[in-house]
Amino acid sequence: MKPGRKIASFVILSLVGVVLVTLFRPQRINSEFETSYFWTYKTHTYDTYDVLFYGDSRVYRGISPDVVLEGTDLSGFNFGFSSGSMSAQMMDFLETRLDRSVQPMIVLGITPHSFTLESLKDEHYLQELNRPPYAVFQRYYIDRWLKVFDRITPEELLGYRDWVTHEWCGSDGWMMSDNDNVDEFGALDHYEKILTNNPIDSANYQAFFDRIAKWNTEGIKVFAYRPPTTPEMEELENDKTGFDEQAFILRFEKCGGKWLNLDKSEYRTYDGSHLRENEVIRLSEEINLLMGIE
Amino acid sequence: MSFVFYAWWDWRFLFLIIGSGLIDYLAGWMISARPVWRRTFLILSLAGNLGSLMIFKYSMFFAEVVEKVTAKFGFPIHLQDNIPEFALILPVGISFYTFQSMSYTIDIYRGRLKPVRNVFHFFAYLSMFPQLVAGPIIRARDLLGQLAERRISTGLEKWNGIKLIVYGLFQKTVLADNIGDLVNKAYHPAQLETGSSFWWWALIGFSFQIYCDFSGYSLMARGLAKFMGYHFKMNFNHPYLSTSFKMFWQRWHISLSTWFRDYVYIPLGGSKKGLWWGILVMLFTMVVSGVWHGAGMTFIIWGFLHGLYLMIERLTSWPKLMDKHVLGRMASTALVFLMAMLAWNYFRADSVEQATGIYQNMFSFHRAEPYFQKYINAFVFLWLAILIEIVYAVYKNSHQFRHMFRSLHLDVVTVSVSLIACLYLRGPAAEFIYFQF
Repeated sequence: MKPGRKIASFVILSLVGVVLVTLFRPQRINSEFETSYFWTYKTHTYDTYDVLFYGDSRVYRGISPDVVLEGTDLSGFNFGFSSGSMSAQMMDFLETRLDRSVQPMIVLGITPHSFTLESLKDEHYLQELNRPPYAVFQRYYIDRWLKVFDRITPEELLGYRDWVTHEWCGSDGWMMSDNDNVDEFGALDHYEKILTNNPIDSANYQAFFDRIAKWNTEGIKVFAYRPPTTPEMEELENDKTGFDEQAFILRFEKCGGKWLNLDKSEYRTYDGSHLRENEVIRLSEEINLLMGIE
Repeated sequence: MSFVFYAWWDWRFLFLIIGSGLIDYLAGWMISARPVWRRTFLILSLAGNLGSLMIFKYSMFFAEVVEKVTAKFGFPIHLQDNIPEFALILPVGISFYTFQSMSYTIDIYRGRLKPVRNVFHFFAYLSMFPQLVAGPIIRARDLLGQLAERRISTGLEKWNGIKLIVYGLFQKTVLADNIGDLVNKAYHPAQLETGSSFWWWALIGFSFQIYCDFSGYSLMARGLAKFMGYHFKMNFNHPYLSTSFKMFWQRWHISLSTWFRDYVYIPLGGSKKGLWWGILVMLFTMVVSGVWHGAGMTFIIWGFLHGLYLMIERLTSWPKLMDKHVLGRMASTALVFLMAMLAWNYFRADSVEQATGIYQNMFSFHRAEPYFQKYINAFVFLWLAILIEIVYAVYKNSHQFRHMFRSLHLDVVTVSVSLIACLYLRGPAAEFIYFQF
């Protein structure tokens, strides 16, 4: 076969293959292109919202602003990041995303880890922030349209979906995640390791309360809650970091914040750290009630 | 176009490659024009190239070593804090283009090459974009002649170029990146696994990840060049099918190993000054090769281990004994892979301590927690990579298989399937491993 014909055959065969794969691909477990747009929007958007939700992965995977604010005229967005800290940098970031024209509110998911030295590095946020301009452009404007080329994994091909964490990016900044292979002790070893020799930074801890007081004087309503996990996880986090939840609540409310007291025993996680999808919906509904939003 | 490609990464370092290139271009002329001063100009060229490598690649490492030594003797000094900021950035491809440039001036010095007149041809050779950032290291005498002629690629060259590009992309994005998911998580500082079998798989995984990553890039570079009508020599030739370490280094990163052979090993005497001098020079060459790969003790140990393997081979000639029978050759292949794989641990580990910890896990025979499900994606592609090597070995040794493949034009099918795999089965995005050099 002449080279020209080989090249033509290769092009035709490849196009046919692409069409067939697009038509018959298995159902996605997650979308790489949607995920890249998701994080790029969160980091680089200039859009502002009436209500911001912020914290670490227990927040970005664990609360849906659309559900919390259902039935209201308020706009909301989940600005949580992986290992999102309560650093001055992130507090400044939140201030730039807040629409103060109506009734600005900030809802913080408090975990001991978000006050630790390691967390204060804000590595995930900075990774997204520091992407080159062309990468941001591609992720923001182009990636959404490339979903047809999302990766297909062997798990999807072989039908081994049960033990995989499914993820889907919501338009409200909530990343829905769930795993049918529930292991409520799964994350303990990981947290044991990351909290070892990783104390709460006292200077930043103090600065956090100063910020809450400042927001209160500016008319911003600040709410906070501790995302539900397991009793074992809470005990580990408190022991390793010295976090005193009651002392935190007292100080937080003294600065003008409102603590949302959840019945954490009612919620189930899939890995000991992150809530299952239906639990997130329930939690979001409870947060709505506790915030007293109309 | 090559300069635009390079400047896309960081335009400031374009001046470095132009500056060091100009030194070598002029040195080449002076070596040829002033025979009395040829050694001086050669030294100038080498100093310029090695100097820029020292500054941008090794300054932090040497500063760290000096600080540790002086601290031990009781007069601590602080060098690392005084290193200028620009010296902390590693210019992409510096290890490759400096070696390429040095080979130019050394070959002129040896009388094997005439200096090129056209400065644009020289820079086209030095900075040719397909191979600029991660090799292969092209010899001046191989490429300058091609650059001097007007190249119009034939249909066959275009087709072969497309094949190489697609196969390279497949190796890199489908095999290396997917396997890399297991390896990166294994070597992450937060990794808790202590089970032996997990670490054996992690190391087998890295062995194939680095091979597929680097071989994939080399194939793409060769394919792009071929598509444009230029011929680059093969850089990887299925090294894990080697039956000896001598053969392994004739098949792994061929352009680099031949560079070290021609410009370090042979000039130092090679094997011509006796067995033990040859072994000493070989050890030295392999250690220097390790240093080329990275400014760290782990790379030095990796290079030394390979020097040790070659030394044992030279002293015992064990591959020749096993070569007499097919089972012996299979055992040799397995042994060479095993020893190379164990050495890769130092190449991948962040520190000697981490590498040691991994060996302890590997040989502790602890039972692992179930991990197969967690890494099933990586395992599927690792087994695919192993299967591809086995199929290649069969293809190479079977005339019927080769005849059938060619007569049915199955290359059209394999290239199409590879391209579709690149689109849909690619792994999580990861940089080329060798970009760090």
